[in-house]
Amino acid sequence: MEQKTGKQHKRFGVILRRYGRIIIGGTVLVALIIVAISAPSIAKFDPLKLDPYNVKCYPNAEHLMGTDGFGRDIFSRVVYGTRISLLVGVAVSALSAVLGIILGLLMGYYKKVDMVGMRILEGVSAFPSMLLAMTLAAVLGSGVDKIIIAIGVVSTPSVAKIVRSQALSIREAEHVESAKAMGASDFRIIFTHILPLCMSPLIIRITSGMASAILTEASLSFLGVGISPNIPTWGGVLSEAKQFVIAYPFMVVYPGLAIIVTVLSISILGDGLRDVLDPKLK
Amino acid sequence: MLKFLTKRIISAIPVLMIVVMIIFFLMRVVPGDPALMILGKDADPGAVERLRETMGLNDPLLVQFVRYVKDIFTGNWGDSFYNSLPVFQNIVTRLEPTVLIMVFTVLISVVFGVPIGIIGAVRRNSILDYSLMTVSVLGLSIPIFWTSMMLAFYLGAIKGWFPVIGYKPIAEVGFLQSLRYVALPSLALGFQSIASIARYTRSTMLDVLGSDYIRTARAKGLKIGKVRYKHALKNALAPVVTHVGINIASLLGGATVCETVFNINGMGKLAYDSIVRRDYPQVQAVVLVVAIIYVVINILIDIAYKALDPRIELN
Repeated sequence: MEQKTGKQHKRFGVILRRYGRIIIGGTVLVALIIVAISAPSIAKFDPLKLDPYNVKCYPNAEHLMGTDGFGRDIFSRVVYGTRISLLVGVAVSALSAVLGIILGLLMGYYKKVDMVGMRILEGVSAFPSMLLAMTLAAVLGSGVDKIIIAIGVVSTPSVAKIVRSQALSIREAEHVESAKAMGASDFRIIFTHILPLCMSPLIIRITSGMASAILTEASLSFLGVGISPNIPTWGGVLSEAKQFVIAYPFMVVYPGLAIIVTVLSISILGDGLRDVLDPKLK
Repeated sequence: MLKFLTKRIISAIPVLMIVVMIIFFLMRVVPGDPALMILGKDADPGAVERLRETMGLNDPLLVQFVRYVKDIFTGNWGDSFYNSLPVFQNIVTRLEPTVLIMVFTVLISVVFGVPIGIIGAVRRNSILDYSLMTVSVLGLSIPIFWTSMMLAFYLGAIKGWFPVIGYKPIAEVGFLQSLRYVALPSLALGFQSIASIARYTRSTMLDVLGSDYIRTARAKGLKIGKVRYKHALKNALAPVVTHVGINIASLLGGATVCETVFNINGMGKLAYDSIVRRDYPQVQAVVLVVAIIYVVINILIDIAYKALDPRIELN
């Protein structure tokens, strides 16, 4: 009996060691998603409502994170900001995954596409992605959808490169050869025999891509080339707080912590997934 | 070596061509007429049409592209819409703080990042390793602009160690004073970069430590310290050097954010200001210069690499 609990303890330890990071990162992320969905019931104030009598309030029971230079409740703005950040993170990942998978598979399977494609990807990676996203955002105009497109396009090359390098080696595998011998079409080979085997590095890349998409969106909104100031975003809240950083540091600290917690939980989740899916990488 | 050099330089040409093409077409899909932008909204339509003609905006796109490429090679990069100076001149006057920030950041991140990575690898799965790696995940999760503001608040305003805003050129206040102006942005940028280099060093070091020749060296009876720091480290650092080179692009992007927060008139801020002002010739020029810097640095790194390790083949 005693021995059994000992074993169970040991097994629990192993599980914790192996999946601990996934559990921690995932739990925080799920909590954030719940916050985003139920933002109207969590936030006590309208994030856009100006209150000229309560300008630059220090954090108190009423205003948990204080109020900004226009008297808007920072806590409510941060809570609503979760929606935009998570939306951008998920949508950018989806967009760059779809584009990156298609490009990467084509490049990995057809040598001619690879010749041209690799040059283009190298060219794109010569630009700082921040600068490229900024230029694209300025070209497309402000708006959540446009920011998603701008960041999505910029983060596609790294996904494409990963899928390509996987596809290049899988293409030579025996099961692909046998599928070919049986007369499978290129389309079938690419999507049913190559793509599933690219999945683990892809999932790892998409998770870290989600974290960096959230950071990029925050930076763009902070610089004022992102989402319009009418929509509460973390970057936007910080951008407005910038001028008060020395006199009212709390205005900068809390929204910043929101970004850090979110990005950190996604990164930890990504690290955990990497350890489980790809034990070689340590 | 000469053959390697020519091969490497030739391989950069298509990349630069792609870069030029991307910039050109990006700037052509921009909404708004450049001629109208120069003359102002209320300009006479006839005058706008004449300017369009002289600027060659009415020619077919391909003709415009060929002309653009020719202009790049002949050094005729155009004038800024904003201050009517040649765009290249604007870049040269803004280059100094950005170069200082880059050099300083790379120094900080290598000096701290590499040892942290080595410690992590050598003491793998220890408490020390876990805490160092947790801190480095944190480093990668903090937005640069937030670190910048916090440093400005604490080290700048509270402690008063560094100036919080602006930049004074070396010619004016001397090298050490100029360094003080770029210290905070470099630290902010460096924090992230330390984290990424530490993680990368750790994983390459672990790869090397697990390889056969390390086991052989240990089996021969060599001291563990000698095997780690002489045999393993040399080979583990080679990929780290390339990683630093590739990181330059993202550092230049981060410099844009830092320079804007600290109001430093560097190239990053020039890029940002030009994008916001819709000063397209200037944006084109900055992005092109940044891409060229990136390509050149990576060629230099490859050459250094080859000089250090003659086994490496160009593929």
